[in-house]
Amino acid sequence: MNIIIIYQKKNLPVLQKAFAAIIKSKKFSTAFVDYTESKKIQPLDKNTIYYLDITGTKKVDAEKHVKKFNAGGNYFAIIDLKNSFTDIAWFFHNNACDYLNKDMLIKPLPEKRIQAIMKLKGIIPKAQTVHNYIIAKDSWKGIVPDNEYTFCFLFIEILDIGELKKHIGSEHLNQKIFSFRKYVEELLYQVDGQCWMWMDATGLFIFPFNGTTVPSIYHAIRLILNRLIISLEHTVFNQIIRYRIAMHIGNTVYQPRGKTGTIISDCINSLFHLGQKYTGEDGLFITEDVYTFLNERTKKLFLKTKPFEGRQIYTFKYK
Amino acid sequence: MKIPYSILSITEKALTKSMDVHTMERIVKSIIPNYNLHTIMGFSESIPIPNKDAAAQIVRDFSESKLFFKLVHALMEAQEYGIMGRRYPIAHLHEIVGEIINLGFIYDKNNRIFIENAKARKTPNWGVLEEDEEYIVTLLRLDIAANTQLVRKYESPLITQTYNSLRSIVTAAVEQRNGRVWNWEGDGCIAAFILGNRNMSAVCSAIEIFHELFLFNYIDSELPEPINIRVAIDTGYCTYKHSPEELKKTELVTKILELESKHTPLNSITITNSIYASLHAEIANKFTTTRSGNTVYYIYTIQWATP
Repeated sequence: MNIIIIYQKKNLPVLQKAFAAIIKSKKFSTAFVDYTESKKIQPLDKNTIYYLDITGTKKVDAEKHVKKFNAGGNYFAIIDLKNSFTDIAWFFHNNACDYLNKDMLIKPLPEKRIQAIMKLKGIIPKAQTVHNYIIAKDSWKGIVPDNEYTFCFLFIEILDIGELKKHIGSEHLNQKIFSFRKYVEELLYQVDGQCWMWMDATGLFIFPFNGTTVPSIYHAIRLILNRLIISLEHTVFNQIIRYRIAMHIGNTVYQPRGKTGTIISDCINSLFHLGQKYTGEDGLFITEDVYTFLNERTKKLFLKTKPFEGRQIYTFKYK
Repeated sequence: MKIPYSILSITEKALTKSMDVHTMERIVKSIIPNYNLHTIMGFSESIPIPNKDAAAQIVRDFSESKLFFKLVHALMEAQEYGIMGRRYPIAHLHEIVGEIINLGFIYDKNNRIFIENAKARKTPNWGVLEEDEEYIVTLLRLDIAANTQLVRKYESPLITQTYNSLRSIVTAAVEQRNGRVWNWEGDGCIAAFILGNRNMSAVCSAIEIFHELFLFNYIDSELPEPINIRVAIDTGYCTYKHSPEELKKTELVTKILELESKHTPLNSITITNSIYASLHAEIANKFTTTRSGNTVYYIYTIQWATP
């Protein structure tokens, strides 16, 4: 079960304390999203409760926000620390499932409260790996080395390296890989991606996770769809290349590029396994952790395939 | 566009130092056949014109950008290939070319012309094509299928928003490959490519447009049904016209409009033999041959392979 708290900036410390017990709970995945960024949210699925902090917002804005979540049939609750809305019933008439004001947040909210909402609304939690997302504030600006954060990881590996080497020789192959890498770096930079590791024909890119969406998925799809064009226009020596992309969301301690040798991360390990051992095919493969955060339209572009190392895997339908 | 005095001054020096008046005139006549230095300067044919004065007059007459670029190009040719079998090393040529580049132009080796640097500005004629002159151009014609029905069926703001998104997709794909969208009307557009491997550029643009449209239809579009398109690509001589209406009357444009409307199935790219011949084998393999009378066309229908 996901709990997403859409907070007003100055209320973040209060809300972090109030939701402390729920954050610690293994039954829920929690994430905090800034109110100003929440407009970009494509509401997820029926496995998420959104807590909207409407403290200090204009009545019109708050109502608009509530209607947006209600229209999508999503579960949402209201936080109003200043009791600025007198007609609390209006929220419930619009299908809100909870209401919190300042007095109710003096003590941490118990898990039981969420369970009561789930019971009331008939929410049956989907079996999923439980995460505690550590969202960096302001994306890369908020990331400090040695600290742990949640990232979206994108693994990419050029296939048939032996064959390519036979055709163009190792020197030209290196140039080809370099040109491809440069293109991918420039492309993914547009969605806040950084090349974190690159060894031979394999790269790992990371994107600070915003708690709600995975914008890099569209560039990953573009890389797959445009493979022929990319091979001819953006890499040297006119040879067509095939590659495989794997994506996952997880936590790791951040170290700058080049100083990643000491990082021990189960999440990175399993991503490399997914990228290198799951299949010999080219294409785009994502874990359920990424799939969960895709909007409904994007989800339709993916097919459920066999699980791998305890995780459900989805593959992009088209090539 | 006026050429800055500093460049004109170096060019004048270059002419003076590199050749005699007779050679200058020969070069100039290759651009303006009836150019007569003696008549222009008021000298009788029997009186020799001093080198410096002749160079100054020529540079003055060529100081407007389009002619000036032709003059510089002629000097480059004189240095590289020579005139009547003799090569002329041109003093300051590097400086002149450098200054032109600083003005926001690049030299296209394939077409041997100076064109505007797309990073600095983008105009439909690349800053150099001239009205009524013929150029070898590759044209891409895109048509929005069932445009009339869509416009009647849906509210105007929704259609405008959808078509604007399509327009952005097309413009990005075309301009990324240094092509230009020459004409955009309600139901589609014509884009032109003149630089580099222009046929490959046009075909790659078309493929990218289809891929982006696929994502748009699936992810972003608010229209309840997908937008479908047809694309035709052909190459040949085309007389450049600033006016889109005049452009439509040119032979190549008429031909490509017919190729799109009569020989292009839905969500397909149709190309002619001359385009097909210049494609990379892997791209060419995507096209299937079709015949209409004596003419052979190649069609690539976008179909998605599902695992």
